[in-house]
Amino acid sequence: MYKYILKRLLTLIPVILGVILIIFLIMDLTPGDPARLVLGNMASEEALESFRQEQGLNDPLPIRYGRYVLNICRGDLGASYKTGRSVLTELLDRFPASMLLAASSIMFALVISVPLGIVSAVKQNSIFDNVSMVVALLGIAMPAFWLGLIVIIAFSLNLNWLPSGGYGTFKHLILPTFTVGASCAANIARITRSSMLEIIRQDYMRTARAKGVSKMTVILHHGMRNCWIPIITVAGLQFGTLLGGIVIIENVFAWPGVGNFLLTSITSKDTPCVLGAIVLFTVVFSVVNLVVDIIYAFVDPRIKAQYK
Amino acid sequence: MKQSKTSGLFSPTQAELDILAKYKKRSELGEIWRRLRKNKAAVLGLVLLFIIFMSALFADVLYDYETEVVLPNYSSTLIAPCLEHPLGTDELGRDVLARIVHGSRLSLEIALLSTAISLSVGGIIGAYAGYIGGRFDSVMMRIMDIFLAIPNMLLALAIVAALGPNLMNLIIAIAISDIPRFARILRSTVLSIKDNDFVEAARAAGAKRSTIVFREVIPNCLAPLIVQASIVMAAAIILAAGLSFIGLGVQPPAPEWGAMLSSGRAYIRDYQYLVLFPGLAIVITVLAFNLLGDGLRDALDPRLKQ
Repeated sequence: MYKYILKRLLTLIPVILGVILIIFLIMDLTPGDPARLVLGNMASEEALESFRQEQGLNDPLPIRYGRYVLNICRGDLGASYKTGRSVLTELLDRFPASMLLAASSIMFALVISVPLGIVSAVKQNSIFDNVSMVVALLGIAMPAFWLGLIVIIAFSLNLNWLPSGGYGTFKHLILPTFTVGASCAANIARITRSSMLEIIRQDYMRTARAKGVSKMTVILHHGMRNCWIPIITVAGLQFGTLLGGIVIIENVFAWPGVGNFLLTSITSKDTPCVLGAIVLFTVVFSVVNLVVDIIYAFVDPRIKAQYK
Repeated sequence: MKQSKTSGLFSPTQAELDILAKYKKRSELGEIWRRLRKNKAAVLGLVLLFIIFMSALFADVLYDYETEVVLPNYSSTLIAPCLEHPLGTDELGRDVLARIVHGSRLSLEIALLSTAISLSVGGIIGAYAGYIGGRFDSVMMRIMDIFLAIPNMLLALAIVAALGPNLMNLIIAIAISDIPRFARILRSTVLSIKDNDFVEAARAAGAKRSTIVFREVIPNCLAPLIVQASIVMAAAIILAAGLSFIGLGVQPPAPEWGAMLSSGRAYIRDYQYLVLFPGLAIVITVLAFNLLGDGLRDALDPRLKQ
């Protein structure tokens, strides 16, 4: 098991290097002169040139990429063009807020969707099943940022129950969590239902029932054990969508996270910050994928046996 | 034409023609269509898409782009929904319904073009990777894995941030972020069919590799591609609206639904219809694509259906 985790951690390295390369190449297409951006329009040609020399902006792309990767290994993501502060510090200041929102959203999604999916499967074609699957379809079709605006209208402006934005208390967390988690919940509910429907028809379920085990126990014990794999897979994939969604939702709810920082950095053409934020999100996503693979082993002993 | 069909050595009798016609009715496409028609949700999706496509097609007939969609009209700003303006007017006095109708053009254009690009590029990469195999396959798939490790939204965001926000760059950004999905799907389908007899026969007949890939392999992998395309189109509409919402997509005064939501947001306290209707347009369009996608998946592969 440990050997497997170590192996997976090692395969993570080329992926992250590749991701950094792709984002680095894309950001390199950004038009405009960073030196001019930092020093302003009044700067002399000498000052601009010495800035470029100092920052290594004149070096060829492979060298700049190599230097960037080496610096990342040392924990240095460069300095913001705008504030001059270390990008890493800027990101770490905002990272807890983003992770709080991401974690609470995925937890919310799982807590809502898994029971919903199971009940829908058990009571297939009932009113409950039909209504919840229509809601799930709508949840998938709804852009999160629009849902965010709608809940602000409903719960902040009309009912005045919850704040429409900001950060700090539990109340501030509710609307953003619901907004980000809703479409994940919809996706997970659908996959839970369809997996459970398949499992219910299996022979071992019928055998357990025939042996006199109550329906509830069969579903929760025998059924759920086999249902977790697809649920975890979809939840892991949804986490990527969720990280992308967070960028916009943080903007809607004025949430002081990395996503909001990324958007302001894009507007001010602060390339080191944009690069750093996207790399950070992608590393988080890759680590989540790794964690998902490890969770498989805990859920399914057959997979654990393969890992050895 | 008719004469040449019935003349010659094998001129079929009327009875034979009837059997042929009957058989034709049950042809594969017909069978898929029959199964799709039975699925009420898919039919709803089709009907909705038909309406949306029609409104996009006849947008210019319904509302003039220059005078009704983009030109400010300060004498009629922020009128709540009424008979004359069924969905109200915006902060610049433009009819919201007119803008939504013209917005369907943009959304469909983005969805269709970006999906067409990602489907062709991803499809060709996947088909060749699956067919050739070996080192080419592993290198291509590792590259695709790296792209898949970046969440769609963030990849598109990076591309638009670098290239600058406009319609073309938005389409390119969405297309690039979807390429790996098509490549993966086509590769796995190709792997499952490439050892079939008809591929072997083409190879034995001396067909070139590109001929085999384009004429034998790809046409037999279309089913999963079509299903994926309808799902990707739905996702593309949401992605495009999201990027326009944060100002990195289609720029005003173009009536993009996400951009409309973005400008309506400033009036959320008093004129809530400004954020309600463009969002509903997105939901309905995305829902239609998803319903059709689900229906097509069931119709193309009945084994998958629960």
